[in-house]
Amino acid sequence: MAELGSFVLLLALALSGYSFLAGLVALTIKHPGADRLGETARRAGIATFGAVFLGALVLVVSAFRNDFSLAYILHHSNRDLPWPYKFATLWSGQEGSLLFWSLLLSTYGLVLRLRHKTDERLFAHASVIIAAVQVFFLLLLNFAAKPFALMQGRLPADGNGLTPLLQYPEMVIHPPMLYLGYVGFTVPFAFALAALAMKYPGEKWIHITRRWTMVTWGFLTCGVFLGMHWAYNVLGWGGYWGWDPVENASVMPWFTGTAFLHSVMMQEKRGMLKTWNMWLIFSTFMLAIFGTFLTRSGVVNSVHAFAQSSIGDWFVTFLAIILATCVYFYWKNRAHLRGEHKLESLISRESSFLFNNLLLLLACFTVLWGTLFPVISEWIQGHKVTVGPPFFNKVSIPVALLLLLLTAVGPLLAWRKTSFESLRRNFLWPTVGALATGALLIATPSAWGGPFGLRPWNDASYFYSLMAIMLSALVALTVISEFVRGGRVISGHSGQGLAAAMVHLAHRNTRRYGGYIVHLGVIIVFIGFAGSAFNREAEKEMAYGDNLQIGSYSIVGRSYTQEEHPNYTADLAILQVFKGGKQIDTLYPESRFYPASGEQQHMPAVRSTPKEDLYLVYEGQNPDTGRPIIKAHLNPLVSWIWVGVLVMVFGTVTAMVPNAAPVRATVRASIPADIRVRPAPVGAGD
Amino acid sequence: MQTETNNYSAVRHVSPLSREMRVVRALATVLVAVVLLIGAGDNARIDRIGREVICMCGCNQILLECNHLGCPYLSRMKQELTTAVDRGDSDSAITQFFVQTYGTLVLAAPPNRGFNRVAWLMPYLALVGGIALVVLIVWMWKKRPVIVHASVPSPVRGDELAQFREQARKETGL
Repeated sequence: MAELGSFVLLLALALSGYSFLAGLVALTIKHPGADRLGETARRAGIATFGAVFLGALVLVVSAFRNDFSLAYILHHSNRDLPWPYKFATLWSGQEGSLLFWSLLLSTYGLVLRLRHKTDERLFAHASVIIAAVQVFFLLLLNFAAKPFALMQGRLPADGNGLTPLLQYPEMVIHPPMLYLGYVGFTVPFAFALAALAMKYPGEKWIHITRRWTMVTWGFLTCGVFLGMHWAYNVLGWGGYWGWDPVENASVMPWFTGTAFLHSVMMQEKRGMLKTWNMWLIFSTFMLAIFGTFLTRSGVVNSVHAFAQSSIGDWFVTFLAIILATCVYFYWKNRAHLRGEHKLESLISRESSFLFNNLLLLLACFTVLWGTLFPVISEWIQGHKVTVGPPFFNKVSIPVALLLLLLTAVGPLLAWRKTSFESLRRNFLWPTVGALATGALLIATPSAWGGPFGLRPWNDASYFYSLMAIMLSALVALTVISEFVRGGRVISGHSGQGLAAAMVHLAHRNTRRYGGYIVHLGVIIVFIGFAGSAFNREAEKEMAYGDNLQIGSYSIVGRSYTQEEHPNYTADLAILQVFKGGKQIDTLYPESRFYPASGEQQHMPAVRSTPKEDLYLVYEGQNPDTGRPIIKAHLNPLVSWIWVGVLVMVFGTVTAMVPNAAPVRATVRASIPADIRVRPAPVGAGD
Repeated sequence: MQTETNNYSAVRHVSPLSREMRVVRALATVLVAVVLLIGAGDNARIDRIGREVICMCGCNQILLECNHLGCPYLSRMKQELTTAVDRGDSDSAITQFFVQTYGTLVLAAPPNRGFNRVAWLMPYLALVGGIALVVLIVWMWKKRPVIVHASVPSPVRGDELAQFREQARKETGL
């Protein structure tokens, strides 16, 4: 098996190398045979997928066969590992995850090359760029991080097992989602660089890549939030985001990708921001590679960097090559990126996009800066410093709130120029609604704290929470008003009910209204984040019958037991949960021990409601008293985050649905007889 | 909001003994309240300072959030924090103690002095620089020359009209 795996990876390298070189030659020479050479390059690219797929299959089969002669399988699997995790072995270590990267890239490449008829020359250029990226990863797999490396000497009877942190159902979904996002940005990057290199006329390349970008962004969004959900349910510290470098690495391309999705509209509609968009997508791809470098190189410490080694130099070299290539083509063809229109007013959709991009890039820079500052400090001061949650929270939350404000304001501004009358009409009631929400929160007795309402002057975190909820209300009201206003127009034309008319409206312009749904998802997520200001926790040694009070919950220790599983043993606490004197649930937090790796792991138990999560952790036994220690967290509004993500995904999917045929309306007007115009489609703009 | 009624106000004849009892009870109440307030204050300080330092077991987590089973540092550091707070040490003295014991890495965020101040300043400088850049871009865009046709515009026809309609559709969204 190992020989077969190594062979197919070498074959994949040869094929992708050929696809790159032959494709490059075919695009640069003027020879009658260039087209045929280009076609062989395309087919070699398609064949690369077959070879890489076979390589990945060999590794997965080796995991299922417990082939511990492979060092990778020995270090990341064991005999009793349940089968879904054996499958997940593919991406649970350095070499396997690079192979997975390569597999996903070759899959994207396959789809791109099969759809080459859309625009053969543009696709040929993009195919060459994807082949170049593929060559890099296959070089790594063949020479620096070999997944089929063999063990020397006598083989152990069993493997070391998968890291306990990864033995969780979501781990079978989270990394593929994240990787689909990371790798997927290669496609818009390839199209952008191709369009720049060949001075592709017009914005057609943006139309071609729009769905690719949205799909990729959707995957990255799912990946980031699944990671949060996993951290919340597995790491057992009661939170979902710890500003760990690995988390930061995943969110940086998300920021620039989000900025690109917005600013690209300016290029489509107004022919502006061409250079900016080009560099945004270049940066997004480079950040995806940089994130991979961060998590692999060990340059920064991380709680969950599972696959560190010394391949950092490879990534640095690759990043330098990408940057040099981008700079070269930009400098050579920069005249091609000149904007076509002028800005007519500061109060316009155009300027809102500029500020939106500024804030998203600032958020990205802040995260990058905080992540790298320990390294910079070591260079300059000779010692590292820690840059943790206090830093990131302090500098990121104001930026996030400003972004939320722009999310409310931007979509209601008109292209070119917005009149003050229009501003007043669009924002009066949403602003009143947001202020009323704030007043209500201040006046109403707090559900999670003391007898008073929210007191923003007592603590900065309360102030931020109040602002987040008020701005969320502003966004929600502006989005709803947009739906209602458009729905009324359709309803007036077609006689449909308002709800049906709004669905019709969204179907007419899926991108615009899908985007609004994504915005609604974002505010639901923000409301979930706002709840963290009211988190509470309590810890107690709890024997049989002991009681732990947190908020309105009373937790009673009922029993402690042990369970034997094939892959681990678990100490379980059986805890009854009472509220208002009535038992409402029984929770079973665990403390697990994995003999294969010799590691221990908490498995919290969570009772989730829309209002709050009761999050219980069995922290083991006090070594002095032998009594079990239970830690309880009361985390308000956490479930809103997961609901918000689902809404965001729904909005993204909606935005990708093709628009419905526009309504044809008869226009009554005096038009010269020699002018024949088509009826104007209704609701088809963005 | 909960309300409490004062039953003592209804008593007309108060004996000296009961008056003493009232004073004792009032003093006891005040004492308990003060103790509770001090305790609450201490807990709040422990909670605040415990989130400004990280656990040194290598997990990089905030001290009060470290949940590693058998963590060799967690209980020791928590004990050191509790002892210092009980002793009445100031926040800065406690932080300084941790830095002297475990090094600067123990602080969860860079201290706002010396070179480390750059860490805090840079995001704000980036914001100011970014705003300046946006303003510059807006200014340049507004300065862009507009092509003015010398002649009186002729009626828009055929494809050109369709093109304008398309542009209007894209820009208005309706």
